[in-house]
Amino acid sequence: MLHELPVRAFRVALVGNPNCGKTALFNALTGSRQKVANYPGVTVERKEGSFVTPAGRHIMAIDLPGTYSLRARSPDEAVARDVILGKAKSVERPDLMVCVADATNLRLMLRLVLELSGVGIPMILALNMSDIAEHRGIRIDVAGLARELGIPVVNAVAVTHDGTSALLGAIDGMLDTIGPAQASHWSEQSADEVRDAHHAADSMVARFVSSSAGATDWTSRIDALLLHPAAGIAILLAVLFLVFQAVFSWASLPMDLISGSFDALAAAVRSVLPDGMLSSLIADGIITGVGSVLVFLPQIMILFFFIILLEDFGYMARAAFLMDRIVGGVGLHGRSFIPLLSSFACAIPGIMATRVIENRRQRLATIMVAPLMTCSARIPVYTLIIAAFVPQQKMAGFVDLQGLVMFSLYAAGIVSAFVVAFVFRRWVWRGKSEPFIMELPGYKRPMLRSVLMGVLQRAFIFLRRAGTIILSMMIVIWFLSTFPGAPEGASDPAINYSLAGMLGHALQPLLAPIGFNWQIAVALIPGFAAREVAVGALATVYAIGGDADSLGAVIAAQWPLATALSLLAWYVFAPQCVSTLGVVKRETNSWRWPVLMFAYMLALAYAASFIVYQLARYLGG
Amino acid sequence: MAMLTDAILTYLIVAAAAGFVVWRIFLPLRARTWLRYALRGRKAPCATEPETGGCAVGCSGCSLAKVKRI
Repeated sequence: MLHELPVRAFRVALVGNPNCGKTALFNALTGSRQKVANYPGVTVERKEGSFVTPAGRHIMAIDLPGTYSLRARSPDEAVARDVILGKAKSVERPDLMVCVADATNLRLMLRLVLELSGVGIPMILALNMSDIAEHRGIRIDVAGLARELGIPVVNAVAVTHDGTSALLGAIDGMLDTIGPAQASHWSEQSADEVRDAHHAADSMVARFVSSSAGATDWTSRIDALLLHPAAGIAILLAVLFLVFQAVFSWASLPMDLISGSFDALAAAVRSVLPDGMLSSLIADGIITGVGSVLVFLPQIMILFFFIILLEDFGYMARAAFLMDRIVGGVGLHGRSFIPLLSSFACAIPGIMATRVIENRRQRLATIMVAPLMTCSARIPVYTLIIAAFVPQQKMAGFVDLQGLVMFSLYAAGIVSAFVVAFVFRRWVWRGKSEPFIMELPGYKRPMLRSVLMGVLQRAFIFLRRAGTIILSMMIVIWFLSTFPGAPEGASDPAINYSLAGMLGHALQPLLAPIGFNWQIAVALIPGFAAREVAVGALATVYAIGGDADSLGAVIAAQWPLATALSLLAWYVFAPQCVSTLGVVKRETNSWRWPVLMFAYMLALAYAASFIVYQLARYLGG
Repeated sequence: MAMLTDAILTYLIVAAAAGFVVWRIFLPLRARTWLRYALRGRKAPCATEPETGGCAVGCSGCSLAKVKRI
């Protein structure tokens, strides 16, 4: 009886400089949807996927973080080096390397290919973005380059469906003849060897690449404006301002539709089900609670639409360059900007992205301030309070007041991050700042399909979160707000006698100096797991308490303005995300830093709320 | 009878939700892996997969919050 042996998958590693399109190629080959963006440092850890070649070979593809050399100066570069040299514990050495090069900028990749030729693994050079190179008048003598390097060289366009066929053919061709991987002869290059490799790469570019000057001129002209020290900053602020205006202006209609749908659904459930616990759980707990969070989906989608659009265009890398003077002034590394930018989505990828920072002190300082950037989980809280307390009116005929307040909250997060970073670098992690060197990517026309895919992906993540953890927490909060019921002859609302009510009343004295009532105290507790859950918790607590109006209307009627402002100040600083603290522990390999982060953010949040509340009351709010 | 069904259904939903919250937020990955394997009657591997996203509850914008191995 014959037993079929399991087919061994060949391991193919994608290696290359940062921002050359490795992840786009990985996605094209494996059908995966890993994040891609037009700036360096998006991939900070290896990712694996599989595909089958036209000849039927099973391939395990490994997407590695970008690197300019195997010398590995930062943690993300060390990941790439360890996998290539077979030093990584959990992954076998690759059988084949696909060196991915940006065809519009070959020089540094050729230097890396020369260095990689000593590691004993067969290679293919894939000239990615060859369509853009052609469009810009860059001509590459592919055959000559292949002859010179002694490896197959193929053109590829990772973002189109048929852009990888030549590469797949080359992979099959290489695997037909492949032998066992040879021992690595790599050793860290001396300064002379590095210089020689640069000269060799320059020589190859001079012989095999020719380009017209038009494209470079066009990029230079745009950069002259966008990177101007004064005009560039003004344009950056204007862009961000317009984005937040759009977030509020465009989202109102779909938000009303979603809100109306959930209200109608709750009413339908109440009319169909008999009065009882199940009806209350579904209508007040699930539909009202989850609906109050889901209503912010349009704003999150609009915000990410603009962020992805700007990333793909190549503007975000310019923003990093523009911010270098400010970021460097507070003692952070220029590379800190990208992690801080990622933190606008969520602090977790932001903190992981700090692996691109070589200097440990600057990396720690960046990690500590990343959660101060306004993550998307704060949007529901900010939007709820702004919509309830800030009138919907235009200033100077075109500036939306609500959008202006939202912009100010984002600005408050950024400014406070810089101030805290300065304090840390001045008194905790002293030391010289290192210079920032970043290769600016070329401008690219954003592909609408890829932008929309990115937005839909984030919408899906938000929906999945709403349908799993937020839904579950809303049910638990409903239970805590409902049991035990009111005693016989009680005159207060039943929720006052519930577990949540008791907990809220017990915590309220601590929070009274910052103007929080017991309902807010209840909402803050699940908010520590995930910030936006606080909105759903408030909706559930008020719904069970007998307030039938929308949550915005209820808080507008019951909270003084000072309380609303105080809660906004709280959310700018509060460490309300256990996952962030967990990832800080993992990235720093110590409990000291997450504990310090929690303590300083909590102290800042309380102090800021106290000042805002007392000041607002003094001014009559 | 209707009230009893109503109460049983409600408590079942609440218990499931509470279990899910504990599973996702409070249990570390090592314990979750051990439990998953134990339920299938198998011994958990010594070293668990590193938690690539590091995020117990997922997030609302992180591309790292999904499984890397496809």
